[in-house]
Amino acid sequence: MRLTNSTQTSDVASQYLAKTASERSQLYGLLAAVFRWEPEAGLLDQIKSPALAQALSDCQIDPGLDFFGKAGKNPVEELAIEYTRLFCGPGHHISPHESVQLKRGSGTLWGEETVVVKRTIEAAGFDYDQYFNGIPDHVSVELEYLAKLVSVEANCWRTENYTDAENALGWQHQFIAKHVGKWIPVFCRKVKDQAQMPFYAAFASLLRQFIAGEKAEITDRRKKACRNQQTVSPQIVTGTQL
Amino acid sequence: MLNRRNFLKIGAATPIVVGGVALSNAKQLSVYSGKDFSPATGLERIAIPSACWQCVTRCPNISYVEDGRLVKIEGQPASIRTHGVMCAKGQGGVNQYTDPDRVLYPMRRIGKRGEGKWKRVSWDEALSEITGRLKKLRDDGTPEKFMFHYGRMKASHSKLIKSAFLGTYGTGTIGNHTSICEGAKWVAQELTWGGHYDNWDFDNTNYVLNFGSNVFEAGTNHIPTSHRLIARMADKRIRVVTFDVRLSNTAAKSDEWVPIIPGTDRAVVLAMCNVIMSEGLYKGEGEAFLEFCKVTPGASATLEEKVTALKAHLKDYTPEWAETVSGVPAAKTAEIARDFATVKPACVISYRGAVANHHGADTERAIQMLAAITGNVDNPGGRCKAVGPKWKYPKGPKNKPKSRKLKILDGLPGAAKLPNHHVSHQVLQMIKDGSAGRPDVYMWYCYTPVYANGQVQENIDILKDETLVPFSVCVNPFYDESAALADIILPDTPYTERWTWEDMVSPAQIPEYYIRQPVVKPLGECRDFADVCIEMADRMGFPLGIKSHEEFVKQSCEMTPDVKKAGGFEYMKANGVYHDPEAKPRYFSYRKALPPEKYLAETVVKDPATGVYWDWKKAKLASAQEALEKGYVATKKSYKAYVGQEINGVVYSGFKPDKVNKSGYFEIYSEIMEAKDLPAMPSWTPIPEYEAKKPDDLILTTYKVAEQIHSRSANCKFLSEIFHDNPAWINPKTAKEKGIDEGDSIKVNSSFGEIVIKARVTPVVVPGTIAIAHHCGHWEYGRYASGEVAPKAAGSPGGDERDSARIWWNGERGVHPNWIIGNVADPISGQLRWMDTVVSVTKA
Repeated sequence: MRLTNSTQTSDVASQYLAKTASERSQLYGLLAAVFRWEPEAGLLDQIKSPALAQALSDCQIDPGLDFFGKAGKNPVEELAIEYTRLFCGPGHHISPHESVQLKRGSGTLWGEETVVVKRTIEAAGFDYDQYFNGIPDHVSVELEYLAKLVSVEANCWRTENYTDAENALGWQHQFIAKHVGKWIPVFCRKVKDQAQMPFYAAFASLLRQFIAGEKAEITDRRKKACRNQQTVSPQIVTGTQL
Repeated sequence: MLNRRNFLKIGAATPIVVGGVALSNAKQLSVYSGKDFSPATGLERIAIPSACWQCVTRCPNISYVEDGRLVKIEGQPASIRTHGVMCAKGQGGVNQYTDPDRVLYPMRRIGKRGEGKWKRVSWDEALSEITGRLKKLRDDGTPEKFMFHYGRMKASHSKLIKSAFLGTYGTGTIGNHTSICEGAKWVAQELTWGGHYDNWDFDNTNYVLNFGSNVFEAGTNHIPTSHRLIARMADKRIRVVTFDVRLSNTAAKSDEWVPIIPGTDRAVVLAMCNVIMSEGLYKGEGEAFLEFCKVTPGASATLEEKVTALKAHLKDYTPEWAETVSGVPAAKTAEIARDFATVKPACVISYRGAVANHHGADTERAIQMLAAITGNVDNPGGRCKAVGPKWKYPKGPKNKPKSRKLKILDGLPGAAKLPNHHVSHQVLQMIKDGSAGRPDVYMWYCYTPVYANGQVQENIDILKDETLVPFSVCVNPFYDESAALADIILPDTPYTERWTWEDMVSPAQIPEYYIRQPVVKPLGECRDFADVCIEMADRMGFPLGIKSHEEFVKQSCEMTPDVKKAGGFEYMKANGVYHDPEAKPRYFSYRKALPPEKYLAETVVKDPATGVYWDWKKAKLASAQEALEKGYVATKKSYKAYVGQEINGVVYSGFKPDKVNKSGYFEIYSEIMEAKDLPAMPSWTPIPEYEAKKPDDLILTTYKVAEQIHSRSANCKFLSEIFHDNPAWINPKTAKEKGIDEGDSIKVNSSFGEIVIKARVTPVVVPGTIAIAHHCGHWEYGRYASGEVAPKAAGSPGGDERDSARIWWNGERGVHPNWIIGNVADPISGQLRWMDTVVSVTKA
């Protein structure tokens, strides 16, 4: 898909962009759900659904869920243990927080980077849910933030509000460039190395590739938009809860 | 003559001619005003008055928050205890909060115990399992099978968790950690002057004699005392003499360091007492104080009889004799004794270096005797009885059951004759032994039984064994060596995220009230364990009537008259600390004559044998007649009914007893000791292991440093960057005899095991000894302590973050000496003997 001058975007093209953005948002959402908590049965059922299973297979992503049934093991229980080992500890684990993972970062929980992430998300108009008791730069929060930004973008395309669609893209571009793109690829490599089951290795691989694709795509679109003098400064998108 | 005073005279004589050129006058100097500013934005940071929890001193602090992050901790300028000074450990507390290896969620063990496999569980799931087990024990009438073992639990945490929760639950199987800390001091003080804790009045002293206290680096009430001593040394040039096995920073800052063989301080103290008594140096204040001392059996000795008894007891403890035991030259002992006895006032101080050894409690008693015969007890500039705040607080349910306990707290049979504060380092051995029963649930809080005690391997083996410890719960914000062996880990909040009212003693001799308040929100699902106890009580059907720890602190502030008068909870939240500005320092509390209505009350009788007035009703006796028949000493826990002590016809408040049925005298002669076949008067008792040691054996001694707490700070990167390695100090003479050079690996063997450690050949340790610091050799407790960095990605150039790459001390994390130190006890107090392990040392 080539993005031309937004004022010239046809209805068909904008609907296509809306659909694409919607799918991207859903994928961000799926990845946020996968990395937020230990998987619940409902999430695994969704992943095993024919459509999603086929889509993952088409991308050569195999979460290995068939294994559990064959081995007579409970995937929810086994993956909960795997999740704990990989992302919670106690002891040796891969902290799923930007401030800990970022190269040349603070290396601490609730580091300076956490503040920047929180401020960025809040400046975009989102509030952290009052019941959220995690740390603001958790991988799943950053992915959820992108899911919501892309969802806003989708709505804008759908309503042919091209300016705000570009705004939303600008926020995405900025966040991927300054945050997600800087630490999540290495985080994903660690997960792939340390995983003992295919599930998180598979989704880490998917996440890494998806982010790489997003980075390239958004950069490309932004460059073209700039060339067409369609750069629009990001503006606050209000009223949405993270 | 050029000196500072003369310089200042110039200043005083100078007219005010220096005017402002570029700078206006500061309204208030920010450096000392409890303010801080962001170097990035220049904006003032939010300053929250709170309190430290790194060591037992628990200094008031100011925590600075920027963007919701705790960025800095400093001392509290308004504190009468610290005057705004804060040590490295306190400042390093910011790392507790941001430790990337913190436990953020409740964890349930999966697989074998100690295997390292865990599953995150909800609080509901964790507490359901725990309270399910606890409730069954309680319902079955066996609450004692729930053992609770704490390391640091003070003030409102203690009142809420121990008194309200555990008290209402009904278990008395509650272990502590005093025996690995200062149990010997406490027991000795209870035997001599009643309640434990001594304060050293450095503000007013003119001489300090130090036996084994590393006051400038560590120890109880560290900063409140050390900054005062430094100030006094600088301002008044007072003399400080330190007896220590090694040149600690305290010894180095003293006017004189006197090297001494570990565990032999008592010999020197006895010899000093000998000099003072034989040369009549006790006359004056010492002689006057003897009126309040018990030096002979009974309670009616005259001053002359007391002096005679002391001289007779001490006559063989000459400086020459002491030299044969301690290595301290006789002339030096005599010289210091004379100085100490003649400079007034003088303060003798002590800590683990002097007391954590065989009969260490008797060393502390001897030191008390030295203070007594020179009249340096509870006087300005002397060794004083501690003064602390008296909080009022909610007590929880009124009808608490009579607690039941397993007899596993006081050590193996014969371990200690007066374990007033337990022998908790032998609890695991008692569990293994099993003869006194075993807990079904073993829960520990702010404590690391594996690492903090001796015989580490045995601790591991016992905790791993599910037949000995069927179910274990660790309450901890961090994953340490003990947490690794638990069944459930409950993530506690570090101290930066919790409420407490605090009560540590004040060296100003004026009580200071202070609180700790959360400066940031708890991370993850961490919860203050006091709040968890409130929930567990609710779940088990005995609500404590307290909503939260915050509410408990709030109510306490409103219930405590002094605090309420100051403005209650809101005042304390805003200011953090309070002391009565009109209060005068408390001295000579024992000299207060009681009004007749106190000791002539209907329920009070005089015990003819001791001269103690005591309340038979409080002693739970039926009548005055019964009290007179049984007598004060023979009545169980009669010390709780003490009213006053008759001395020469006057009834004084005296030295109020605590824990033991002593009289109101300052007891140099202890019939309690005598009744246990222990020396009635402070005496030298040979150390059996020294008597049996081979000629080329050495004595292992241990120490703490200024930058680390004993076992709970190595996760702080600021601190571990400074101190992370602990080569064994060995004197060049000893090293040469063993063919050891600087940096060599050496094997250190005791009857409990072997460690291999680097040698530091240095003349600043006594020949024949080897000195190894605590704090090091962690194999858990996160990346900074253990060197176990978080996973790296293949192909990734660094670790997972900057700090992993910057842990330049990886591979230099030292060796833990506790692998080879026995869980042996001082036969008097039960104190773990950190300082007198006999070892063989060879080149590895």
